[in-house]
Amino acid sequence: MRIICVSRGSKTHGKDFAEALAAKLGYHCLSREELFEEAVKRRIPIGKLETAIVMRRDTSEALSIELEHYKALATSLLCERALENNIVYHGRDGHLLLPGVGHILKIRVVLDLESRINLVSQSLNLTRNKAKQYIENVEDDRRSWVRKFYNVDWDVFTLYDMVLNLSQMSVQNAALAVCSMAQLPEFQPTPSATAALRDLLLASRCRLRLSEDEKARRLNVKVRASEGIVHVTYPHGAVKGLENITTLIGGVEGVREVVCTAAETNILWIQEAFEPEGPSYGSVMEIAASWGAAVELVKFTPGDSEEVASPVPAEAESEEPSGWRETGIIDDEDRTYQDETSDIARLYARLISDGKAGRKRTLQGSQKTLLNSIDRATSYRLIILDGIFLTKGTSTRKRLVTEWSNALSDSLKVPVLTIDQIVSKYHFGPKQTVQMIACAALAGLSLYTVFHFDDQILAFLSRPELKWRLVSMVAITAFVPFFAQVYGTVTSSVLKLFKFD
Amino acid sequence: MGDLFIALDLTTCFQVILLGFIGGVLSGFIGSGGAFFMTPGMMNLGVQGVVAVGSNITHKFGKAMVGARKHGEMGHVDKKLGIFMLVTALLGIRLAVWISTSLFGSGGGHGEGSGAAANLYISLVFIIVLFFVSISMLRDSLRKREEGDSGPSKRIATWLSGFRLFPMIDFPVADVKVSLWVILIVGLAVGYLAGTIGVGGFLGVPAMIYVFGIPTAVAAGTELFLAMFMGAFGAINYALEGFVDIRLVLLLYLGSLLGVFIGAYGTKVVNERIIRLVTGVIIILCVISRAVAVPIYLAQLKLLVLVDPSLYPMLNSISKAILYLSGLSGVFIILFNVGRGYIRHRRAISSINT
Repeated sequence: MRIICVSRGSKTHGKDFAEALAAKLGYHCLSREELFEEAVKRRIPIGKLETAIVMRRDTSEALSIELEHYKALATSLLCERALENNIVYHGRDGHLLLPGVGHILKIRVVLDLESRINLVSQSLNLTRNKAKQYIENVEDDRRSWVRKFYNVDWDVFTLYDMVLNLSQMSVQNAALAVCSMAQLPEFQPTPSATAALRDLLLASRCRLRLSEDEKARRLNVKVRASEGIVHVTYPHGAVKGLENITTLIGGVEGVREVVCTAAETNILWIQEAFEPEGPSYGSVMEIAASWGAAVELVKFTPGDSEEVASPVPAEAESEEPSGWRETGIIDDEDRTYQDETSDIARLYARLISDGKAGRKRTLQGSQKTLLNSIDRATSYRLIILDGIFLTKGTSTRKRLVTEWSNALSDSLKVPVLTIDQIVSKYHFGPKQTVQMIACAALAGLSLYTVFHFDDQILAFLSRPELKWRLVSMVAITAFVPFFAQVYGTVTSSVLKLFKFD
Repeated sequence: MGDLFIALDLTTCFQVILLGFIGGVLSGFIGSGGAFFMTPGMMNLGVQGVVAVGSNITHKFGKAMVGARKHGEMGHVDKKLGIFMLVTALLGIRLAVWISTSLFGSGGGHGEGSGAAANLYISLVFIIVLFFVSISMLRDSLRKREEGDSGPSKRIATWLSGFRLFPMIDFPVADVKVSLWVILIVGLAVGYLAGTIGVGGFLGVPAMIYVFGIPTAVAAGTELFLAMFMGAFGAINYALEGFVDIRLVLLLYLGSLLGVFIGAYGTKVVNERIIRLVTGVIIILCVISRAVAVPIYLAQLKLLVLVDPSLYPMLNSISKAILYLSGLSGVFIILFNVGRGYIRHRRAISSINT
């Protein structure tokens, strides 16, 4: 159940390091190449996919679907192995395939350029310049792959717990050093991490099940699972092949229920307590209907998880951890199915009946816990963060919500708003009415002035003297954007008033 | 106002607003310009070609400013790419303005023939460029139908990426690496076309998609960012020459800013292949409309003698009719789908709220 993911560049000794580490710890070693072999066996055109991605071509819909198949295959293999054994995986940011699994030890292996050039020169019999060019090209390809596959930047080292520079250190010594790190409580499995792995495994198996069916194989669907409930989202236009989804997925072991939602994108709604019958629901649903989005619910209770667990001695390797820190989902009791009368369950039932259900989860922990639990490969158009820190005072609550919103927005590059902000941004209220009237008055005044005095204005604008031409040029370049802005506000307000956005 | 600015009565005002609205709907729907309809439309109303282009580019400046801000909020603008292209695009605009104004000056003084050389030149550039754009767009949409692939072709981008002409510039937002020389050439061409016929976007957006290989949304956002500066530069240049009719600019806004929102809504409810097909057909009709008007300018320059002088107004009417036919039929298809989508959306919302 312990997982170590080693991310390696070309010729950095990453493979040797991962194998040495696995041997020292007695873990099972799994490589990206093995995943590729499995993909080929399952008829996933992995070579074609890699070429399309590294050449930075826009992948066609068919290839995007195959990419999803590969992602599902890689996730299922990683989850299966991780649930059976302790594993060391080496490849390209494999830990990102397992969002919400917080105990993974993530290592990036690097080596100085000169050593890499020497290694390439020797192994491929290239000149220094050609070897350097080769390394740059391969790195570039990896960067493209990681960006396309996980939507993250390969060069951001904060993705890892440790960056190992093997320029001054032997592979064996580096592996030895990491062995003790692997014993730290932060990298020990927790019940919630196991549950997250099971959810990921179930979702990926369901996705693979669809890929085995001739009709369903071509469907562009997203599959996610939570506590045995499998959520399938599919584009609005998709019709063919959908009829068998429930039967196909229902046959996969561990599936309790299948929820299908037509959605182009997702809205993530995070609250500490939901009000299923409250007005917020209508506001969120209007946007969801307008965008064709599924609404994913996260009932999140902020908790103080900044405690530092005491280190575990090396001899206690096989023992269960004595503590945890930032290890992902932290409601670590054996997860039981949620009470159907709970707020989140009732809201979720409402979402299902409105055809907008994403998935629902209950989490507890720190800001980092929340960030780790969000799948970066999922397309979120909006995150709603509201009604958390309920035990704090109003001012503190506002400050904390703002701080967390900024952190989420910076990390995920998605707008994060409260319900009130949604109402003011996407709905028409008194403030918008005043703004619309003021802008309409300004636009009307501008039009009246220009058309009432058109002869004088045109005569002025076409005066031949250079100084007057300069003046008219300044006047036009200042007035035109002003009018566009003012009149644009009027038209967008009117359309918003009629819910035409 | 002399020969430069036309007199505006209520009917003409309404027609300019309608041109703006149609151009706006098409622009919001297609995502690049709308000038291909508005510029010839204004010329059909008797506006001098150079004034039509000057007023349109000024109108585009403000519109692009609003649009670029919205795209910027969504992260669809690669400012680095925009700035690289801008450098040569401004040179292209200056070149275009110089050619247009020189030809306007050589049009044979006042009267009917005034500006005919510039009109002919603008029309010819318009016909040649948009003919190729529309044909490739139609071919692309029909070919993809057979192959069952909805993404734009990446053959040119792939072919060009093989060359790696030094220096290669990395654009992280668009996620592409493009040779500086390719960027500069495309920038110059975009600027020249924006300055000549006011439709730089028609080259800019496809070039960014097909030649640079960047995602469609980022291409549209970056083009608007570029258009904002190009429009400002074009507006400055044309205003300096006294070729901007501020009344036309405001009338265009009245229609276009409303149309843009409606057209943009249309992209959410209409299939992408249909969008390309409709766009291709509209542009080719605009090209035919302009081609019909060419004999008039040739005759005004005494390069062609028409047997019957009554053919001038007839040709102008045919040109106008084809233009309006293309715009109106395109807008009808778009509005029909927008209406249908709007009703569906309202039904969905009312079902949620009840």
